[in-house]
Amino acid sequence: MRGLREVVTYELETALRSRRLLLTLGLVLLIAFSVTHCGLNVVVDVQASARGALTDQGLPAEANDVLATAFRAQVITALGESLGLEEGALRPVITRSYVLPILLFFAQVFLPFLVFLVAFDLFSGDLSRGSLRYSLVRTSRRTLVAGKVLATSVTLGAALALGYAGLLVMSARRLGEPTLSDGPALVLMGVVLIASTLPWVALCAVTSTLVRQPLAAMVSVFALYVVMRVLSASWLWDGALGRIFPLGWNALLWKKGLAPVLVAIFVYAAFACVFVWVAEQVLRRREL
Amino acid sequence: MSAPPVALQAVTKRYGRHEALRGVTLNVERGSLLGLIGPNGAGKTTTFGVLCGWLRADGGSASLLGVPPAAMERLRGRVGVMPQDSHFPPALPIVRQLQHFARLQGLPRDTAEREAERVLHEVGLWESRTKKGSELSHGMLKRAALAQALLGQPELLLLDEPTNGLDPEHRRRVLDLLVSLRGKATVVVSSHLLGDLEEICTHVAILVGGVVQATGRTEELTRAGRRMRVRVDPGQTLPMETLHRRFGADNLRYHGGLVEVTRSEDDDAKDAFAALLRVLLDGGVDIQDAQRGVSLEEVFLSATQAGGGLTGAS
Repeated sequence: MRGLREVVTYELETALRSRRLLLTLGLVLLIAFSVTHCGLNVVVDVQASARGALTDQGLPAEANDVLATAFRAQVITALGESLGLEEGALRPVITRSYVLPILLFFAQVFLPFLVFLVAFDLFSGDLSRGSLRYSLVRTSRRTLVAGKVLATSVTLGAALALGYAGLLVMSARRLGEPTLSDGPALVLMGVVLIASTLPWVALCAVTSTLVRQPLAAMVSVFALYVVMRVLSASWLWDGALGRIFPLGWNALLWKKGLAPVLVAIFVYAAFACVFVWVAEQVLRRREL
Repeated sequence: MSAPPVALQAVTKRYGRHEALRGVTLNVERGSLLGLIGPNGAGKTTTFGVLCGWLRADGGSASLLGVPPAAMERLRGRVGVMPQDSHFPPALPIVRQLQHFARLQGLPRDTAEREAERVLHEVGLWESRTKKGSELSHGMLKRAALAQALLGQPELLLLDEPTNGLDPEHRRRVLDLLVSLRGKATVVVSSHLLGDLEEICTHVAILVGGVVQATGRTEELTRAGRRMRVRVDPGQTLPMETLHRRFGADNLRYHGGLVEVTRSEDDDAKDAFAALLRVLLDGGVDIQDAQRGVSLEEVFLSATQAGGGLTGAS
């Protein structure tokens, strides 16, 4: 695709100069850090009071660990149920960090919203300004769509990596976990988190090529999300991954290593490619 | 034989019930500067849209340098287009925007930077190069849009209303720029400013109601009329007897310093005009201005009122 590198470079430069984008990302990271901070404080307080109660009753220190594990199991099972995972899907993580299932929850529920806030007007802004015409006499629609999707994914990926690392450090300092032994699993988790934004970004490309006004594009993509989640939760990539890993594919990440991660990235990329193609076709057929 | 720079064959385009183009056929000669003129709603911008692939024609065919509009990207760098009302993206300075467009055309980085500088100088925007798209005035936006079309010195330029909304100084600069392109590139310009087009265009096409009413060399269209006009000092006495003898009393009008003569059909246009001037000069008349034929505006008005009264000159 001739010109792809130039489109990506230009879009990245535009993103770095976009006050709206930087404000959105900054605000979302701030909220994520604040919520995590509060959540960690609650966990630490609960642990401390449980420990104090056990000591008051003259029970041995091991009882605290048993109780803590039971509490952890309850929290994680509740998270699994809220995500619609089968019972026991998250069992492998019960003896591991709190942070992993919490991040999993964040990824599956909130990440698409972050993507929408950043990418809802991927094309609609250009369509309403008419500035797309300048580019389309010089490069193909496919290059333009692929370039914009890639650049947005890179911007989001960088912000997510930063936020993800920050949250882990915050948790490690406050809660004492995750520990270094969780490192490989956390890295894989991070990679999957970032890759999971790809189809959402590409989906934004589709809706923003269909709708000329940015506000209408935002409403459309949120409506689409609601429809996908409420009416057909197991549709598209979540459904595909669910069929490949019936026990909750995310839970297997730190148990089976690299293979599920690669499969997940492939599935995400495949769906993103399909959406890029659809966006290109829409752009080819619509009048500018 | 190479394909014509611009070719439209029986192109039709509808917006709902409204028929914007009704079988537009137009071929533009290589190296010519063609003015596409027409009243509001005549279909000029729609014609540009169809040519550039921004709008899909409902019928007929169109091509730029032998390539259909749908495959416009194959022509990258060979065609420069200035849309009528498109804005630049708001975030980046215009110099960076232009470098980006030049890079998209396939120019190396250093050439792209030089090209951006050159075109900004050409349109008089170099001093405003650090302004962002959102900070440009209407006139600046127009010139920035023209600048991006000139990047890489394309062999074909399609310019939709390039002088509309410009102050007199920049209008003059743009007109001079277009004149300097004559013979070097094929240029199609649409405009309402007929005086401008008459001055710079080698060819004209008049579009009325989605139909090309007249097309041909500007000179041929404007001189095709049999009328000749000479402006003189109103206080002077004219050699009326000689004028009557040469052109006939019925074909001569003199009022308020304006001499209007209609030559007979068998009278050669060039000879008649030379004879008129000679008679007046020999009679000691001080000539202020002389015009042979009709102005482009008159041709245009005649075409719009007749709705097809004029025929193609080529």
